[in-house]
Amino acid sequence: MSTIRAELPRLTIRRGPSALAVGRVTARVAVVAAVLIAGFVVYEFGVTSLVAQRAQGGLRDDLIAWETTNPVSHVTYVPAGHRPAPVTVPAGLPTPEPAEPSVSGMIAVSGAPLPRMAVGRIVIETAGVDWVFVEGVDRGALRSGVGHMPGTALPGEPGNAVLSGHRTTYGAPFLHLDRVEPGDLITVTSASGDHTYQVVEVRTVAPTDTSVTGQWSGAWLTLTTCTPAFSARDRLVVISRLVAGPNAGVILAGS
Amino acid sequence: MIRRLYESLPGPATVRLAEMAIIGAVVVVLLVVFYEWVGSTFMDSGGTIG
Repeated sequence: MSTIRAELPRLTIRRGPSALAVGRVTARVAVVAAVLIAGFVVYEFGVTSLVAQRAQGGLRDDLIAWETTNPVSHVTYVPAGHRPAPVTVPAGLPTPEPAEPSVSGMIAVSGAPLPRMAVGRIVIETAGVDWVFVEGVDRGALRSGVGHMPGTALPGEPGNAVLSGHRTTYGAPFLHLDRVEPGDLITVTSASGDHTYQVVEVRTVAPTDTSVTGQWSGAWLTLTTCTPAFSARDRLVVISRLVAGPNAGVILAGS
Repeated sequence: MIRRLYESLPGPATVRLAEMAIIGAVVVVLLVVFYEWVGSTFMDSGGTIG
């Protein structure tokens, strides 16, 4: 037996101990990196979507409760001084008739929502959007997908209502917002009623460009999300104007 | 690597398992915080302005 073993050729490839150690370390680093990247992908696109969808389920019930219990009051609408809105209405879209600044009427307004509570529901057919949005645009509020920026007008009410939403994570509610074009309709249901907006402009701005969140005369809805998709570099902004709803007649007449 | 960590922990097997569970939970929390930060900073901040 020992004779046979002695005659066998040695097939073992000898390596230096340092090369072997480097190989092992490299393999381990590669495995750890792969696990971390896989975990990142699962978390960003799986876990966050589950979180948002679960939140949406509860928010739909909360919204019904908010709409039925929220005291909607009717106040006299006195238009603010005429300031030119920083948007360009594309040709072909109806432009509201200019009216006397003294025109006033009654409009429905709802009470101030508490942070992170359901405020309304936004539907954009051309972008596949049907989401309940909450009050607030902090990280916690936006875990449910879309949030209303505090300090801006509530949808359907005078001023500029700003809604921000995730583009690729937390259910990606605004994933296809880039498909929206001027003329498309946006429906927002809130405690004060169903309000229809018409898109007048789609543009890209820097994340620090607060000009799009300013309060303008008339009733506007501004949607913001990240662009390009999978990057937080810029903001895609969709600006729309109130064209129908319980307050539209009065506000359009006075704006 | 996990086995080495387990073997380096003090105490009997049941205590080691409990220690491993705690370490695992801490790692998961740290990973979620890290993923959340990376995602909201570089990939999708929620579209907020300002």
